[in-house]
Amino acid sequence: MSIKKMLTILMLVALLAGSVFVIGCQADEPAADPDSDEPAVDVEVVVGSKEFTEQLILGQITILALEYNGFSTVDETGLGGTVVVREAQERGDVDLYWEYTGTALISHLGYDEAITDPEECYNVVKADDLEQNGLVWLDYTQFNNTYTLMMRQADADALGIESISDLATAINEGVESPVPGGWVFATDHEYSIRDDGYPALAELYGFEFDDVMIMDIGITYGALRDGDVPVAMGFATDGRIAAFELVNLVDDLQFHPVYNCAPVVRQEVLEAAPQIADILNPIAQALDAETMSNMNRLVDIEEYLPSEVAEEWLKEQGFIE
Amino acid sequence: MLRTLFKWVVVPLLIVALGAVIVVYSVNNPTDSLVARSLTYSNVFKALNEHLMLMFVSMGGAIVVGISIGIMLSRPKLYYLGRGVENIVNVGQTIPSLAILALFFTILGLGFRVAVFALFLYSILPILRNTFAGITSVDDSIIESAKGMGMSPFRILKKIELPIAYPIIIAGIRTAVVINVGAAVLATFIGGGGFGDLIVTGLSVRRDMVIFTGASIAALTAILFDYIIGQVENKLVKW
Amino acid sequence: MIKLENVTKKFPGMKIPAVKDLNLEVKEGDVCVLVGPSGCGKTTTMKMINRIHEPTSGTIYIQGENALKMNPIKLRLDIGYVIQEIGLFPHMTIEENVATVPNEKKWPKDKTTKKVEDVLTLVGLDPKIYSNRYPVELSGGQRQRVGVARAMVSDPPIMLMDEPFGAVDPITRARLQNEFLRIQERMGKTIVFVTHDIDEAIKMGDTIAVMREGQLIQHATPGDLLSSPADEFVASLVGRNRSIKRLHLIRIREILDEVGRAKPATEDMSIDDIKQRIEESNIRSIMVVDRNNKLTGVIGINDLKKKTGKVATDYMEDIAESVTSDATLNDALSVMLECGEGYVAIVNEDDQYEGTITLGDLLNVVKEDS
Repeated sequence: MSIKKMLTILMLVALLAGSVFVIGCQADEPAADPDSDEPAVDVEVVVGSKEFTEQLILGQITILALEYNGFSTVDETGLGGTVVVREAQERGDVDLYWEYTGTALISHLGYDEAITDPEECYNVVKADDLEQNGLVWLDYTQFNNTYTLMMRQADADALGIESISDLATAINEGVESPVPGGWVFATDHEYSIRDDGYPALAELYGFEFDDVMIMDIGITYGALRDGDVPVAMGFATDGRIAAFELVNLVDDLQFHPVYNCAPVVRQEVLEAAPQIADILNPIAQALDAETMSNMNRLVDIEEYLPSEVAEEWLKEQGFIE
Repeated sequence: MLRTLFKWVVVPLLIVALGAVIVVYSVNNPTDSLVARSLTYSNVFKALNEHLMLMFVSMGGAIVVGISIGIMLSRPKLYYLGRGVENIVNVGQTIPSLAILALFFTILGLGFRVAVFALFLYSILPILRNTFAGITSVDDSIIESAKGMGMSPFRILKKIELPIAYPIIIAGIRTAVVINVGAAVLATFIGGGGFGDLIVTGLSVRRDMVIFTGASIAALTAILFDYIIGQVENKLVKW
Repeated sequence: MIKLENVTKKFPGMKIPAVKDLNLEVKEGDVCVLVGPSGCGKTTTMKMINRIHEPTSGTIYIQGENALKMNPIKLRLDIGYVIQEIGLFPHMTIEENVATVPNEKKWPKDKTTKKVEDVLTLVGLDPKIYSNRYPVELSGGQRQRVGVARAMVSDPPIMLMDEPFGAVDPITRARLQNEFLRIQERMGKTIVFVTHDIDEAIKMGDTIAVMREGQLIQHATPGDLLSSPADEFVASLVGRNRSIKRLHLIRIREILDEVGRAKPATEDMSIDDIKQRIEESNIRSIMVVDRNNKLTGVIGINDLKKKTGKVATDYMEDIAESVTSDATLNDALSVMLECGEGYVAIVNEDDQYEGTITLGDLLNVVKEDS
């Protein structure tokens, strides 16, 4: 290879590297919203979320609200399961995500007993997490996205089952399952085994299903709708419950812990940008069960994107323009 | 004699024993109550039983159907169709097994039978392709001399083409079994059971011991069947 | 025995027929060689006889019966078939390969075993050594032999051979040809033999059928073909040096009595006697045999000068190559050229000395003919 040729190539490489550098720098700069009156904030917030619909919507709401107020964000929504996102936050890879009080209490803070009062639970979690892990819980939402046992509305009406106790009685009395194959319970992997999951529930209510069918969390609702199983577990605010004509069985013995949701921020990030609390607190307060469940439905059933639903709701509520 | 005993009995037993040791150890030494609840003998054997059923039923069907279609497509009259199918199969093979499972979930719903069906379809591919390739790779001169000596097409298939293609067909079955055992782990997502129940549960509650137990038994199952089929292959192919 | 009447074969999608209006008759016990350039239709013609290819029109009679109306499977079971690639079954032992037709005919097992052993011995393969081997373990020449053995095992009256000795080196080929001719002399089968090699055709054929572009140009004995080719094409095929080609036609034993009975020396013969013998001989060399008349060496006139000693063995050199008396003169010539000597020793199957042929003898034969 001649020297001239080598020089040319070197120059090309240098040019390319330079342009990449420039592009990289641009991307790093906070993308200030031109419509906003707020000045650009020099803090970049990494927003994470778990991988199910509600979390994706909450993540998008957060990103849109922060960016509207002049923050730059990195979208890490849909990162993984609870443990993955939580560990990412503890490492500092994620600055902010929405966590449920009950989950934090049992899974992250090591409590054995669930707390069924929302306020009490929140206070315990908020105090402990700040002290132990340097994580700040902002205001919590009205909705309680706890685990729920569901049946098809028609089956529940026909068998007169309204609560989990009714279900336990029916099964123990040998009432025939509304679907062929017996009293089979559709659950995701986590609920099938966790401390506040099916095994403890069965113990408290004093019954057992004929069989447990473990499957992906996303498809328990469909399995129930299609009559593959008579009872399935789900999350109380899921949009499919209404859309598929399912019904939540009342947790009359208050087995399931409360799972109110709140944005959790790393302390150092919040100290660098205390406005985050001012931006997100009113949003959390505005989110009630009906709202959340409706947004979930829009994504799961109507097939809108989480970001579209988030934007629509934020505009409607006047959080952004 | 000793060698045969070693190959057919001792080695498979060693693999099974290793699996048993892993199960007994992890069931008896759970790291916490969650692991203890998850790793009971009844759970592990339920998973093993479901996994083997998933595999046997889908593989049994795939072997019968894959070889039959492979033979049919290798007949001279269907040869060009066979070439086309071979290409489609090659493309089909590149579809991830999870996608196949997802596809059949959306069409057929969930449960063991759907998982078996998806595994069955997925396992047909390597068997069909290798059967077709094995038979069509038999040299024309061999077929011609067999024909010229008065063998009927059926006799040629039975005595010449299939025996010569055995190593390739069996290699296809081996590939299919290993893919099958791996893909069967995914059945858990649609309620098909198997070792996936343990592995994915372990992943979701972050208990390494549960993941390890499920994954290692699944891997040993794959190794065991791969080994046994390899032995059958050695026995069939003397040349 | 075999009769083709107005046989035409047109392959689908081809404009020109592969074989056009062909008439050919092969008499019982004859070797008919189909010869011609590639694509002339010779192989197609042969393969119509056992209906690997079905004729488009025309009739084929085998032993007076219309072959096209017979069950092709049954027809083929009684026709030995050897192709150039041999097509041995790689997954079967030599024994199983050779037993193919007996098994198809459902012979009793002991009859099959015996016949397989016989035929392997006949083609020069020791059944004890080779029966349980697989084709991959054999050399090219051995595989050719197995191919021939497999075709002959059920003693079919007719054999079809498509360049059966095509895939081996020239020396092995000559040996296989000679062995095959020796077997054929005993068996007297009716054989259709395809080759593109005119030398092989002249050597092997009782009659030669020259084909070009699907048509039969000339069907004649090798002698007639050489002396009176039907047209320019045949003439150019047999070549200009036709007299040398005649060497293919004559076997050594036919001229051995006249020219080749030079007496050998015994191993213990004294040096003086040997000197005398060598001087008398016109090749200035003498063959040496042992007490059983087995050829052990040769003494040239130069060996006498270079070495010292009292008896023949002190002067003797090894012999590189010898030929049997059923080889053709052309084979003898090949060996001479290869060894760079003006003579070649003739031995029988047990390596016993039968005579010596010289280059001069060959020249005389060629001269007489032309």
